[in-house]
Amino acid sequence: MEEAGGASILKIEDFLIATPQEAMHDLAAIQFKDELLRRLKETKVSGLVMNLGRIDVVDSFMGRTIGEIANSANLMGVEVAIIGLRPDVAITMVEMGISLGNVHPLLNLDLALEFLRNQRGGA
Amino acid sequence: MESKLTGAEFLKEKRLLDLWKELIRGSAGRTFELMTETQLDEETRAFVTEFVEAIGSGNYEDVTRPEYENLLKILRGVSASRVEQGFTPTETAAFVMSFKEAVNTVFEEKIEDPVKLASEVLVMGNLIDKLSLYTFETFVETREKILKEQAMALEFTNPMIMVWDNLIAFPLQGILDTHRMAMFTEEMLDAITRHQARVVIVDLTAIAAMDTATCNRLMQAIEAARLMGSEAVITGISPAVAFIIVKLGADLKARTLRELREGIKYAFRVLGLKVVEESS
Repeated sequence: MEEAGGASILKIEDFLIATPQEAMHDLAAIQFKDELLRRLKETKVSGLVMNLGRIDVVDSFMGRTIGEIANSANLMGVEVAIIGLRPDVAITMVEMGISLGNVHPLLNLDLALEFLRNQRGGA
Repeated sequence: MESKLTGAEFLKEKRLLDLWKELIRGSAGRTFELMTETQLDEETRAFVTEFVEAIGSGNYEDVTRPEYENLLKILRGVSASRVEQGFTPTETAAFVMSFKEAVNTVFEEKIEDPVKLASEVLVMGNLIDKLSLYTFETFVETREKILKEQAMALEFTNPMIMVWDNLIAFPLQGILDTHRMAMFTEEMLDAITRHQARVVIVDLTAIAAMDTATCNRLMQAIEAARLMGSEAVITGISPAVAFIIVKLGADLKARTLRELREGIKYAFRVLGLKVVEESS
């Protein structure tokens, strides 16, 4: 697997599933972003699932990076779903004012894949 | 048994009552901010009547005896109402303390023999001190009871109803403050993960009012639920709560519906479920 800031990026069907590691320092976050966007272009997938389940601390930089990835992916014509956000992380993000307006939060991977398939069907 | 106090008869006079009320008025400045004149009138009159009745038995020492039962009952009532009305311990104690002062003044006016005066003032003083202590004890007891009740209300967790697969409901009730709202947020988000709830119904039917900070917290909870992939639906918003949300200028990102059953209907639609009447 390529260097992606310790994150794993898997492909399934027409989608990518990216799982950042728990403690991602700033440099790793940037590497993760670069690698992920590169893979999106390379694989020509229609959807991206970001699994945030391993993140237990979130800071403003991390929050912004997630937003930037989603924005860039949207511009590349890729729908973005996030899954697995933990309750305390979710509350922290809200308190920090990170709204993630351009991603679709979903409960689990099943629902995320179902959602992305429907999006593709609609397009 | 001691001989009867000759001063006891003076206590029946209106002079004592007037003197006492004047002293209360002078000592506890806030008394009439917190209670009405009529209430004080009733309390002082009932107390004096029962006091005269009790010492009529010739027992000036032991307030635990049955002849003092009615008097103690009045004192319990006084203490309890003082706690509820927000009196301080000093203000409460002033009620009985000033009675002692009033009694002393009346005795000084009426009893001429200095030796007799001294002994009667002493006996009366000891007795009233005991009553004063009793008042104070009940005051503290009542206050502790109320504090305990309040703590219990805080510990009380919000009930969760598992309405259907992937559908949970929280009928909130009681007084919602920021502390309880923070607890609720935690419970709700945990429940979403645990039950994989795609829809959460937050029912506010039993919430009459909410302050703005609490309302803000509720909106944060709803937003956090959204980030976790669950949709929060609010039902049963009362006019008062609706107005607060409007005044906040808050953008409530949740679907709000009139009552719980509409919330359930909506949730069923989201979950792709349909309720069909069984054909007879």
